[in-house]
Amino acid sequence: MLKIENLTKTFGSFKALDNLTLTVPKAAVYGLVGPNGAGKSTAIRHATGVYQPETGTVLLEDQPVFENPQAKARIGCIPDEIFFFPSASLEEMGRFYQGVYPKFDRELFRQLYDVFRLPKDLPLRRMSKGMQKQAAFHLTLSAHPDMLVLDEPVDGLDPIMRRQVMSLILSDVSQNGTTVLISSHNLRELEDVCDHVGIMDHGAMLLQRSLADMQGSTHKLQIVGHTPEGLEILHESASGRLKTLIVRGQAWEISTKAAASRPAYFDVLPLSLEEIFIYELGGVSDAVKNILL
Amino acid sequence: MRSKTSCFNSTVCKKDLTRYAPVWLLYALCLILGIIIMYTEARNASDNNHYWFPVYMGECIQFMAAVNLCYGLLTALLLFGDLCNTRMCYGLHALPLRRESWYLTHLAAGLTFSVLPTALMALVSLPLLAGTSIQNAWLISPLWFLASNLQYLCFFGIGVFSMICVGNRFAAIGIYCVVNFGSLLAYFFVDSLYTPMLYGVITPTRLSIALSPVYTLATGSYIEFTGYHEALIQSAYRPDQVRGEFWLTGCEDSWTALAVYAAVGLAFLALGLVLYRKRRLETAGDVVSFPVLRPVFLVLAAVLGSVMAYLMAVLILDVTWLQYLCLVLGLALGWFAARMILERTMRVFRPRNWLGLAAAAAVLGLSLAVVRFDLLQIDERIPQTEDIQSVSIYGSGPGAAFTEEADIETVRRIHSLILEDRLEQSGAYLTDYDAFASQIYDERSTAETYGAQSYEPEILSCRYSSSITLTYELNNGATMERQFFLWADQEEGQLLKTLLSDWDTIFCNSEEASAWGVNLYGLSLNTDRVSEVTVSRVDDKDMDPACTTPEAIEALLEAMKADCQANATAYSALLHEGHFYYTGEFEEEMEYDAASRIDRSISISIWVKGGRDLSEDTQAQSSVTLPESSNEMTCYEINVYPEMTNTIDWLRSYNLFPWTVESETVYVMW
Repeated sequence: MLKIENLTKTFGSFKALDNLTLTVPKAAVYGLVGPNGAGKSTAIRHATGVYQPETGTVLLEDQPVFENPQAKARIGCIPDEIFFFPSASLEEMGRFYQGVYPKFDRELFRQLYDVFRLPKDLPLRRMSKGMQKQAAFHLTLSAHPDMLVLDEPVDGLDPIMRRQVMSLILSDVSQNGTTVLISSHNLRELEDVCDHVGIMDHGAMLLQRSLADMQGSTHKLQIVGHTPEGLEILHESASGRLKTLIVRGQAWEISTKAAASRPAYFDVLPLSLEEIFIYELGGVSDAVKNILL
Repeated sequence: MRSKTSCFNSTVCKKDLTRYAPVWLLYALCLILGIIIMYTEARNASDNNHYWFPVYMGECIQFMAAVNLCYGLLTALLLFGDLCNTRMCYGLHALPLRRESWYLTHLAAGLTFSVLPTALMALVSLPLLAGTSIQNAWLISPLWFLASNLQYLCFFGIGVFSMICVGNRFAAIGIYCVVNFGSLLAYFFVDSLYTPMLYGVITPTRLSIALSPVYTLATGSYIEFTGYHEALIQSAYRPDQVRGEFWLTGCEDSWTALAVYAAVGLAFLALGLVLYRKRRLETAGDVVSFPVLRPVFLVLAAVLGSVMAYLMAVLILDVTWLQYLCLVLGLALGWFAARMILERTMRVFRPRNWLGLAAAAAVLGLSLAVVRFDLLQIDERIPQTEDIQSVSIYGSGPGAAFTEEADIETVRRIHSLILEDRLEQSGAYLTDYDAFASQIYDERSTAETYGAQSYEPEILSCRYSSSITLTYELNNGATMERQFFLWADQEEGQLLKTLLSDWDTIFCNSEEASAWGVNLYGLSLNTDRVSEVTVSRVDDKDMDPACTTPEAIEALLEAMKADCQANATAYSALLHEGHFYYTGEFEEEMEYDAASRIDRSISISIWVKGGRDLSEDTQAQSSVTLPESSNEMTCYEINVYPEMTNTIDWLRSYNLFPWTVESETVYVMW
C-alpha cells in the first residue's frame, strides 16, 4: 500500500532520515517505533505529503504522495499536534473536511456523534486533549480514508482514553479494511494492535518485520543437558544446570533437534515481543532499548 | 467522485472569508465612516456639498495608498500566517490540496477582502456624487474603486511575497518594510554618508521614489477638476453656483504609475507562487524560508544596523569620527543580531562570524574610500557637448533650459570653473548655505556688523551666489544633476549672469524652464501682447491704475529688454552688486533698524490675461491644458536688481521707487 524507498531528509546539517525504506502492506497495521528523534514524525510527514522527498520515493500504490491530491485524499492523517482552525467547532470542521475530502461521508459524520459523544458547537480549542483527539478521529474517519497515518495517537492520553483510541483504530481496520501506519516511541503501546513493526533509530530503519513471522521464528529453549547441535542460537544463559537458549527456527524443528541430543529435560517456549526485539537488536543503543521497556 | 483538485477550492475560500470576516467587515465599516466624514466635511466647507465632495473623493485616492499599505500587509499576514505555525502548516498541507490550490484560493480571498468593502463604499458614494455640481462626478466612484483595488493589489502582492520568503510574521513585516521603504532609507544613507564626499553631486531621487510604491502612489494626483479655483474663491459665498467637471488629463503619470505598481504586485504574486512551490514547510517559524536568503538577510540586517546607527549619530553628534564609529558599531550590531536570530542562540561570537563581519566592514570601508577619493571620477565628470541634448540651470528662482551648442559650452565652462574653485571644510565639501556663508565670513573677515546682540541680523559686505543646479539631459536618455555654490565675482559668476540675463531665456522660454515666469504654461511675454498685460504691484504696494496703461506697460517691457541687453537681469540677487535702501514710510508704527530697510531686490507683479494664477496651488502641473475662454490671469513675479537701471528709471518716472540705490554689496544674515 505505502512504500517508502531510500528516503533521505536533512534539516540543515542534521540528517533526519537516512536512506529510509519502509513498506506498509495493504490492510496491515504497521507500528513505527523508535526513540525520540529517530525520525518517525519526519517519515510520517513524508508519508502524508507534507514534506517533499529530497532523495528517494514515497508511493501510495505506485502513486507519488507529494503534491498529489488524489493520493492524499486516500490518506487520513492525525498528527501528533492536531490542527483545528482557531475557534472552529467540530461541526464547522466537518463542513471544511467535507469540502476538501472527496469521499467525506456526511452520514457517517453524523453517526459518529453517537460514538464519540462530542459537543457539536463547542469550540474545539476549549475541549480537553483527549476530546480533541477524539474529534480528530471523528473527522478523519468520516473522510473514509484507505489509509490512516497516526503520529503518536495516544501520546499524552490517560490509559482509558488510550484503550478507547486503540479500539477505534482496530474497529476501523476490521470494518473497512483500512491500512494503518501508527508511530510510537513505546513498543508496548503497539504490541496489541500491530501486525507489522518497524524500528527506527537515527533516521534509519533498524528492523522491519511481521510480528507473526517473528513470533513463529524465534523461541526460547530451556534445556538440561548438552546444547543441541544445528541450532541458530541468538543468546545463551545458564542457571545451575538449566540452560536457556534463544533460538531462531520453528518450534517443531527446535524440538526435534533438542530431543536428538537426549537431554534430561527440555521445553520450547514462545517469546514475548519485547524479548524478540531485545535479542534481535542485540547491541543497539540504550535509546532503542528504552522503546521496549 | 467530485474533483477537489482544481486550482481553486471554494471551501477554503469560504473559510478564509468567514475566518477573517471581522477584519474585512471592520475595514468596510471604516470606509463607510470615512465617506460620512468626507461628506460632512464637504458640507461644512460650504453651505452644501455640491462641489467639494467629489474633490475630497478624488483626493481620497492618494490617502488610500497609505490605507492599502497597512491593509495589504494585514491581509497577507492573516491569509498566509498559517505558514508560520508548524501545527497549522503541517495539518493543512496534509489535506488533499495542491499548493497552487492553497495559494490561488488565498489570493482570491485576499482580493475579495479589498473588493467587497471598496465596492460597498463605491456604491454608497455613487448617489452622493451624482447629486453634486460636478457633471460627471458619478464616474469618480468606479475610478476610486479601481484605483483603490489596484493599490491594494500592489501592496497585497508585496505582502504575500514577504510572507512566503520568511517563516514568521515579524520577519515578513521586516521584508515588507524593506521592499516599500528600503529605497528611501538607502537614499538617506547615501545622501548623508556618500554624497557629501562628492562635490556638487546630488543623490538621485528618481530611482528611490520609483522603488517606493507607497511614496509614488500617495503623492500623485489622480483626478483634476475644472472650476477648482473659482470654487476656492467662492467657497465662502456661493459655491453651489460653481459648476465643473473632472477629467484625467494631467494625471496620466499617476495612473500609469498605478498600473505599473499593480503589475509589480502581480509579479510579486507570481514570484510568491513559484517560491511557495519550492518552500520547505519545516521552515515555519524560522526567519527565512530559503537558505539562499540567509546571507541576504545577514547583509540587509548589517546594512540596516549601520544606516540606523549612522543616521542617529548624524542627528545627535557633530564629530565626524564619532559618526563613523557609530557606523561601524551599527554594522556589527546588525550583523550579530541577524546571526542570533538566524541561529536562535546568543553564542554567535565565533571566529568565523567575526570573519564575516570583517568582510562586511571591509566592503563598507572600501566603498567609502572609493567615494572619498573619487576613484570613479564622479564629481569631476562634465559631459561632452556632443553627448548633451539640453542643460538646465536652476537657481533660487525658476530655471532656464539651453539647447544651443554655444550655451551648452558656456554651461560646461561654468561647471569647470566651479570645480576649480571648490571649497572644502573638515573633509567635506561645502554645500550647505550657512556653512558657505560662515566660510566666506571667516576667509574674508570684512564683515560690518550692525547688530551686536544675538538674534539681530548681521550685514556682511561680501558676495556670493546661492546654489545653482545644473541638469544635463544626455542623448542616451540619462540625466546628470549637479548642485553647487559659486563665487559671483569670479568668472563663473559673470558667465552665469550673462547666460541668465537673456531676454528670450527670461520671457520666451516655455514650460518649466522659464527663468522668470512663475507659471508660464507656454505663454510668451512680448510687446505684441501689451494689451493683455497689466502691472498691479511693486514690491508689496498696489500700483495706481494710471501706471498700467498700455503705453506704460510697453515702456516697462522696453526698459527690461534694455536691462537684459546690459546683462543685468539674471534672476538671483547674489549675482548682482549693490543693494536698495528703503527711504519710504513703513505702514506699521514700529522702529525699524537699518537691516530692515535693506533689500537686494524688489519685485514687480505682471499679470497676463488668458492664464490663471496658480500661485497657491503647489500641485499645479505645467501640462495642464487651460481652457480658451478663461478670463483668469497669469501672474509673473519679476525681480528688479540695483543694476537694472532702465527698469529703475521706469519706476522712478511713475513715482514707484521709494528706495536709494547703493553700490555696496551686502548680505543680511539673520
